[in-house]
Amino acid sequence: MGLLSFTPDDIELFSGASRDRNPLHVSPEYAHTTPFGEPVVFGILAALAVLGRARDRHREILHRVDLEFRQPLHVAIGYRVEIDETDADQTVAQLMDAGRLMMTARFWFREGVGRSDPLPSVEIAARAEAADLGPAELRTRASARGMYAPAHAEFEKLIERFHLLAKGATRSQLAALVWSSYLVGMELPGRRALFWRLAMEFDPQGDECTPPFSYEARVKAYSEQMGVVETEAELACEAGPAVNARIRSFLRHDPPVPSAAEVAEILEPSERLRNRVALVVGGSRGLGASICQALAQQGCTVLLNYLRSDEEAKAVRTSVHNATGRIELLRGDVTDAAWCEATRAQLLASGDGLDFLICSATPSIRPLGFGLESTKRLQDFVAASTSMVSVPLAAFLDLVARRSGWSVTISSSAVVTLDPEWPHYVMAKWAAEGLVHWAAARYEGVRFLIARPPKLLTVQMNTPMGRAGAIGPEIVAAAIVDRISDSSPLAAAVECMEEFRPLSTASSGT
Amino acid sequence: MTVFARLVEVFRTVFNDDMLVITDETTAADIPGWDSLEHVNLMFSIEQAFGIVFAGNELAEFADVGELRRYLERASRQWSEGDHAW
Repeated sequence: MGLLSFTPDDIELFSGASRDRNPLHVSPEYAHTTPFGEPVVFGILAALAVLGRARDRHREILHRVDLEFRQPLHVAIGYRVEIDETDADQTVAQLMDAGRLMMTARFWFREGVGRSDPLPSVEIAARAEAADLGPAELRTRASARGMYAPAHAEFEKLIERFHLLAKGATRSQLAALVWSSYLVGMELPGRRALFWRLAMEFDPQGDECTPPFSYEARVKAYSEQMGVVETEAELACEAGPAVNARIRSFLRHDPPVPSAAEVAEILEPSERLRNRVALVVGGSRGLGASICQALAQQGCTVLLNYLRSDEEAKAVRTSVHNATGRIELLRGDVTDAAWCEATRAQLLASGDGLDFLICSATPSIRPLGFGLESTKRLQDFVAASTSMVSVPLAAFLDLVARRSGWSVTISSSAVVTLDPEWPHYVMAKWAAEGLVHWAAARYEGVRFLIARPPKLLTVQMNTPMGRAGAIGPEIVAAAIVDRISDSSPLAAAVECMEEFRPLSTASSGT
Repeated sequence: MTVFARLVEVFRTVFNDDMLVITDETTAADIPGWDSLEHVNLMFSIEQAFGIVFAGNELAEFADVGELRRYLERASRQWSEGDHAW
């Protein structure tokens, strides 16, 4: 059935046509703060694209649509399109990626002839920025109403780009579909939305509808724990009702913020690491950020390395301004040998040396199937991930050896649990562990520690089910820093930490 | 309708299979398509059908359908007692 891929231009075209400017789709900077790492392709854009791959339908008209966006789609990936039109009145389409079902779209048709003329160009006062409804508004059954019309020129381009004429859907029906994206992404719930499901029924008389449309939508059900929002909505025009829709979306949680106070509660602040210097690779977010906080609270001077998350890095530094140690920001690409060389030269020139090298960085971990179509992505991930360990080890291990310091590499319990959708992550972590074992045989004086934390509540795991059962990175950070503050002998040539218990030292009075 | 019968209805709707057989021993591994997203779908549908709210940790803690059934039966008993109190 062929492959379907999307480009940034497709996202921009759809955004312009639909007026949906939700930052998850249009802002790479914002998307970086989400578990998806990169902008997500609009679900409705994907649904229109697969409709464009369906057979032409003459004297038939769309009357019902059922969509499920099971996994986020991204640009530059070839998704396999599978279309079943065995039942004459239905098109059932699926997007697959290396054996994983990404999206299902069902379109039902009836006999009829729809209007084929372009919609009138109508200006409306659409939102420029997404509303940002939170749990409080959703608990009280928030609602939204307004006027809607797609942006005329971009809408026509969208229709042309995806060959949407002669597929049984009229322009007003296509407009209703793009409206649903606007409704979810810009209105209800807006900024933190992730579109999940759409059931849409078209009124038999609705084909006479032309913009401007009026709409009303209301929250029907909301589950705070799961972040699921169920919405009922209607779209109408002067001629009468056009569409009834039932929508499910997720309200994404805000990115977790590493808590210095929580770290201090677990590991009592001290001056055990006074006059010691640590380089934490990937220290701006998640476990790396908590490790920076824990080190500074033990008196250590921490060089917090990060690449993109400037605001987050500054916030981590500020969070320990009262600590006995301090955090200095060291922005740069640790996979860049020249940057590492320059940093190494600075460390030598300053006479600071290095007591701790902590490798905690990882690329965005998006689930991945295992198949021929995904092996290139698997290899790219492993290369990106392992270079965040191999390059700093190559650059700094001899400095750590001079100070009889520690090399800490953050692995994952996934190397044992073998999560089905993370073959790339498992492979990358085993590769990193392998290199650490190799290095341990050659760098005398360095104490090597591998940490295999369980699922952590970080940006990477900030999804509805990802959060379930995740533990705070503060617990793991405190345990690691407690261990490397201690000079007791290693349990093995490479010590492996796999047990992390909440609230250990400070709360028990040790 | 018993809690179990209502639970079976929810399962059949969520997994779109009118013939789906559920027992106390049924786990996610027994039902094709019961992945993490379908689990959210299932739990959300159970919340709607039973008028309950799961706590965060409960979402991933039911080892099998039997545990889920017993939880729902306890929740149902609490409503009944609450109703009498009114």
